[in-house]
Amino acid sequence: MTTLTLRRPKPEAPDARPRHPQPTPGPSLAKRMALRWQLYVLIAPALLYIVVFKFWPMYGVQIAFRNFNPFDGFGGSPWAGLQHFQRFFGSAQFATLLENTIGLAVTNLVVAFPVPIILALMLNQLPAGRLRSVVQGILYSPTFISTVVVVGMLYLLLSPRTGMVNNAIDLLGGERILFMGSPEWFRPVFVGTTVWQESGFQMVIYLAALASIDPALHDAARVDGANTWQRLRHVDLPGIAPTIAVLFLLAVGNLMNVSFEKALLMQTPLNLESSQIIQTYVYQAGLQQAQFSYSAAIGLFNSLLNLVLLLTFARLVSRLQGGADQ
Amino acid sequence: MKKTLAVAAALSLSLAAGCSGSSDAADGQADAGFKTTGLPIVTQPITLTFTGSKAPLADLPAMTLVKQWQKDTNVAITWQNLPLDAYKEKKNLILASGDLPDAFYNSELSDSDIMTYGTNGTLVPLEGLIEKYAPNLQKVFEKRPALKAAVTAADGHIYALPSAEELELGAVPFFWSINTAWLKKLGLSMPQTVEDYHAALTAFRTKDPNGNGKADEIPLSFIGNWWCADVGDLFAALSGMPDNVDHRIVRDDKVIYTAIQPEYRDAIAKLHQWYSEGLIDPESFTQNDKQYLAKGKTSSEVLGSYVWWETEEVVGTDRVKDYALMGPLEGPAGKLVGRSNNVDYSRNAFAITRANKHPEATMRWVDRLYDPVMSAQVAWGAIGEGLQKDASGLLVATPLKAGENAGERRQKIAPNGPHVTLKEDFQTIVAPEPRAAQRAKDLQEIYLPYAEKQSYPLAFFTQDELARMGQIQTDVKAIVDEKRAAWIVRGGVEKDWDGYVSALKQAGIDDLVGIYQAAYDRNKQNSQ
Repeated sequence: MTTLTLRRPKPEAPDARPRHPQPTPGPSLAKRMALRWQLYVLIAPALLYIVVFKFWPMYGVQIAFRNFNPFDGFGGSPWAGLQHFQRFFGSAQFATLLENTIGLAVTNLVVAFPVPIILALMLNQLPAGRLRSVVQGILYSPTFISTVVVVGMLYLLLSPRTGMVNNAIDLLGGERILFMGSPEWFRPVFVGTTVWQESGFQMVIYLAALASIDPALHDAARVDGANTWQRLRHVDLPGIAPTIAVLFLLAVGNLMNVSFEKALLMQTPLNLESSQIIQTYVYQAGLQQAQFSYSAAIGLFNSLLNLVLLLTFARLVSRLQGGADQ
Repeated sequence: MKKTLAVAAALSLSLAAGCSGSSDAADGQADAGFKTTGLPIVTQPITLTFTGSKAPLADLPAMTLVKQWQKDTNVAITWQNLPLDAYKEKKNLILASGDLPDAFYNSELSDSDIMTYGTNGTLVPLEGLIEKYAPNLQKVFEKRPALKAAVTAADGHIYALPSAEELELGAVPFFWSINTAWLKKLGLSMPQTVEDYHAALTAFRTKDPNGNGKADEIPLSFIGNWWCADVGDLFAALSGMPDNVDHRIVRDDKVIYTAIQPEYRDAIAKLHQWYSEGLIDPESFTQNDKQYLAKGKTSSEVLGSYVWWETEEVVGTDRVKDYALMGPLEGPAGKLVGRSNNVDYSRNAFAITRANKHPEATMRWVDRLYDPVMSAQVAWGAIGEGLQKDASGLLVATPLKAGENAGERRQKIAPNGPHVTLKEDFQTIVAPEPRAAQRAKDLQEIYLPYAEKQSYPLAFFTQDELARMGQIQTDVKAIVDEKRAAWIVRGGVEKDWDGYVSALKQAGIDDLVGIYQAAYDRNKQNSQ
């Protein structure tokens, strides 16, 4: 028994889930709601939260189409139409920003997403005990370090003169590298620290999913002569596939919201070429230079892009799952 | 057409707000017992809320001077001032949210803020109040019409009040310190030409002047585009045209954008050569001020030369004897340094908002700070604490206690903010603090004789100009900042130059220079 508390509900037997539920004539919606009022009471706080904090603020999105002026407010500022969007699309920065943002987001997803799965599968092979909990603790602990501190550590560790990393490179006969001043190093360093910082947390979720796999399946596989690798491939992986799908969709949902503060903190004039992403640009144009409408328009564009990506990937995932079921 | 309507709407709204604001104020005034002359300013205590920036070490409510103000005037202040970085981020949110303080103290409002929030009624026009309730400030304006011109917005209103210390300390912000102990050890004299300097840096790099057997010397370190730590003056020595953080200089009344001039390209090409020879600290474009200042205090001495406002702050009291200021270097245009666009005037020290119920009392309160003796205390601390009278009656800094640092003490005891100390006041009322006097002397003797003749004044732009400038600058700044650093470190300026210039033209650099030129011309006309 591990210390894990997260558990995936046991999958229902396949035949208990009708593929195409038959529409049965029943009581009206209002009647059904009245019948199950407890459920609606349960869901109400969450619904209220989403309406108040997620939907209501969208009212402010309209300033992307206006020349916002605080005195006239959201609703009263003069209309500007698509002027701010046109300005952004016509800007010399547009192509670079788009490329950097998508490039960073996709690299981040592709590299950082599989790591916790691999870690969880490996850790799962260790017998439960002291070693396993120590390793798990070590992998999990970077989650608790704030981004500001991580980036501060980066500057120290990667300093070309005094940093530990460059001292080691020098000792091994290599050329010292100006990590924080090279556009080509921005993405590797960014993604590398993301992996280091966030893998532990995700790993725990996968471990929980692994723990819920019926041991009987493993025993059966062993009896059939499956080796460790085959059991990983044919028992563990399919067992956590639904979890992977869910976490993947969540990750895609946040794809374009790659850690903004980290990009900003890691930005120097020398790596701007690859470190200027849409969010940092919005921050500089919007908050620092007070071009609220312009930055709202860019932010809205960013969200739309993310929505398109999310829908695309969601379809892809459901198709893949559909394929796996058949 | 749409724009005219918008402006008209904004104006009518601001008028309406102005009216309701003043009637509220009258009620408030009656309650508080406002007095037009003498102290206290109000017979019934009132409380005002101020926000703005403050020095990191300042605790405004605890300052002797601030406590004294409250006792004298019966006006209590709720200070919500924050350190500069934090405040700058919050400033736009405060203005946009409408949750306004009664006044901004050390407002840090940009010209664009002043125009936007002045014309839309967030900030109250002050010229009428000044006429009635600000005798000290009026005296200053009579002596310095240029200062009044500087605070008067394009629409003729005054929305924010000035501060000024007429010492010209920022005229040349880049003071170049060089390690004279190393020069001596290597048998070199103080560099006079740019070639001398190159030779000295090469010697620093290769001859192990700190004698620890390691090539850990940093011949030249700086912070790119930092207001007092950039190498703009080395551009002048290398190519005959100085650069500065604005990339904007003035020659013969013509505004020049340096970052598209051939001189700029040539200087960068040479700097890249210096960089590849290992003469320039690779961290010059990635370090912040804290990392930079720490470099001068490492266990073994590593800095050969560096750029900073003063020598001692970088290397500390123990090592400062090893360093001296290096004068302008002889280059293609002779000895030349840039003149910064910093001016001794600022026009954003104080502003009253429409939320203020006591604008008259607030104006009388702030006008007290423009009395020359009070101004000195605002800047350097209360008499008896930071200042004392010498035999001739001149205010001088009190001696530092053991272990005290002048800069830190000033942060702790002087609120800073609205104050004016004119050139003549430095003769008759307050002596410049020793550091400032030293700097003024260094400037006069070493740098100013070789400085560019003109600089860009504190000109006011119209709102349309500001809007257009904001748009252009977002892109221009991104391109220029990135390329300047990248070319010096990685080279390629010759190859990329044409594409770079056309990208800047596309971003509207010609318009930008045109706007600066127009505002310059207006300012020149006004100050005649």
